[in-house]
Amino acid sequence: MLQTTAVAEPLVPPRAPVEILRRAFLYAVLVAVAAVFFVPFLWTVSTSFKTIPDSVHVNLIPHPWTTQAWHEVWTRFNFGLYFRNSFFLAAVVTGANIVLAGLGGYAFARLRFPGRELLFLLVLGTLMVPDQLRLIPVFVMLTNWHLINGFSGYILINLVTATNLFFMRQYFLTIPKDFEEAAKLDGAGYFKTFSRVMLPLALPAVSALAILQFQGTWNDFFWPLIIFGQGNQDLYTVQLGLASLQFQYTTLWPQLMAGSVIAVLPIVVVFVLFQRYFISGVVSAGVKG
Amino acid sequence: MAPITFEHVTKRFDETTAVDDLTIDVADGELLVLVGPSGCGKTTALRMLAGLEEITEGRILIGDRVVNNVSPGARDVAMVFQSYALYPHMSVYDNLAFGLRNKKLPKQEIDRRVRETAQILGLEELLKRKPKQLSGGQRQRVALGRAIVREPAAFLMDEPLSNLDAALRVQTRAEILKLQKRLGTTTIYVTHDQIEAMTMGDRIAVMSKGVLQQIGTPEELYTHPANVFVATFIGSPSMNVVPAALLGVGGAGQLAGFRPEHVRLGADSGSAAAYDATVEVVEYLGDEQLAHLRLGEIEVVAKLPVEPRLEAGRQQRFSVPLRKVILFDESTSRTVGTAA
Ligand SMILES: Nc1ncnc2c1ncn2[C@@H]1O[C@H](COP(=O)(O)OP(=O)(O)OP(=O)(O)O)[C@@H](O)[C@H]1O
Ligand SMILES: [Mg+2]
Repeated sequence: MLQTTAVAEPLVPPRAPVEILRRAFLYAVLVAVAAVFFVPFLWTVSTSFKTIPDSVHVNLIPHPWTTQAWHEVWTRFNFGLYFRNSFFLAAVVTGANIVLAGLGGYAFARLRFPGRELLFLLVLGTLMVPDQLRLIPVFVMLTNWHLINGFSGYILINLVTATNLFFMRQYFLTIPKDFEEAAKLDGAGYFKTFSRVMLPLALPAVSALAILQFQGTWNDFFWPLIIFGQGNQDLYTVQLGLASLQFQYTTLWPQLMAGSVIAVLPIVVVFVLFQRYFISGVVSAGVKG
Repeated sequence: MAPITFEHVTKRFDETTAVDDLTIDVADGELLVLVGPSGCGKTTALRMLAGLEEITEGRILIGDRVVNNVSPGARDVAMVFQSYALYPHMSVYDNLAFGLRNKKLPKQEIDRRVRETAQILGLEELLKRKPKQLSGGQRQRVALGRAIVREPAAFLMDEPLSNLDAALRVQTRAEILKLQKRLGTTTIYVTHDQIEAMTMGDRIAVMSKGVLQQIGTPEELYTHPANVFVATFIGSPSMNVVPAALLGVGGAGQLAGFRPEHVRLGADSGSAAAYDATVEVVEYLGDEQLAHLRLGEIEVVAKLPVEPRLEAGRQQRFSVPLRKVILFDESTSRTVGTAA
């Protein structure tokens, strides 16, 4: 006979009270920090539903409620078009960067060719040059090529950034060589090895790049302003559109805030879509030991 | 299926010579084990055969084709990596099918082969899983499957069992062996474990510091080692090597080697070399005992029946049959012959 205890102990002992307290405190702090970051956003949303006179007051609840700012932003200020322009640019630039930084980063990490190190140093070198310094040469160059006042010039200079090239190269360097060698022995050529094995393995890096580049292009104000921001309003991006809501002596706060909420939404969507790939560890499973 | 030939193959990395003038013939369908201590160039030799490493000098042939300048994918060899290198983003099915798809085989043919391979290795239930959802042993089998499914001219295996625990290693060892015999595919198997080498190899090639020391059947290596290195590397516990004069055999400048299991207790007849030694430690193994003996400044090991039990600290007389004593030249380390 097995010995049995009289009183059945619970299978899992409960957490100690100290532990519960510790957790409660932790969550309180987290909620507080989250609130600090969230309140400004809430304020933005709230102001977008206010009237212009009400918008200078510090009440969080709009009085009276109105969707007029939203309506105006969409119709009078043409944010629908700006949104499409921004989306187009961000998508094209992000796509180009994924493809080119992926291919280039892989080449810099793995292919052996003469002059590779020198070329890579040159790429890194461009990181040392601040935007303000490149402004005039780039502007003159694009003007000479008749690429000013249109999207093509902007896309051209953003096709692939040195940061992304560097980033992808570093990531490819961390992927064990065994995968590529296995693919080679499985009869995959350079391009297939890249597209079917290496790029999927670099998915965490690609997602990070996609999020950051999309966000960067979406939020870019400086270069759009220089390249196509002074003439035709049909070329405006959301950021240029937002700036146009601030006049010399007045600012249309509700409209500006409505535009800002529109400006933030795609970033949130992109992040939610890609964030799960941020979690790496995809790579570590195939190689054991 | 094809024979494989290394002809005076050398590989240099900057200063280090990883493989030095290696010449080996592997027969069609043979399982050759490449064994040697860490850093002796086993992996490098295998990678040159696979096409993952350039050949500095010499030629490698698969069948009668010189493959020095053939790309890895076109050599028709399959490699099992020590790390397995399963594609982590693909299911087991896709891992197996990847090589076949690259060959542009028809879909039904790919499916047939993948399922057949899965059945051989008992992977049918796992085809939809990703590598990270498999146990170590299952991953190992998928890695094997990826090689088998392609029906290549040769299998190359680089320490495929080193990530498994001891029990699984012994079991998988037998499975690989059965599989290889059944498929009859020429196989080169790299390991640093001499027991693995002895149990698996049709023939064994022993390497040290990039140089091939000896190639032969397990029995040949065990009974007729070519030099001191092979003599002490093969067999466990390893062969005792002492100055020949200590046993009163051989000539000047010679070493005498004898295996622990050939040591007898007491003086034998005239056909044995006898010596007195102090018993230092006795390891009792149940069916036999391992005695560590001190012979002057030299320690030798004897593997003896449990009866009579030896006692530590006692001086005893031991002997070895002369025909079991191998003589080596001290300066070259080469085998001269037996003492008989
Ligand atoms: N890519 C490389 N560059 C420079 N030296 C190398 C390279 N690969 C291997 N070597 C050297 O070549 C020698 C043989 O290496 P190799 O990997 O073939 O040994 P091994 O027999 O497989 O050893 P282990 O049992 O530890 O795997 C070693 O001295 C190693 O340092
Ligand atoms: Mg090795």
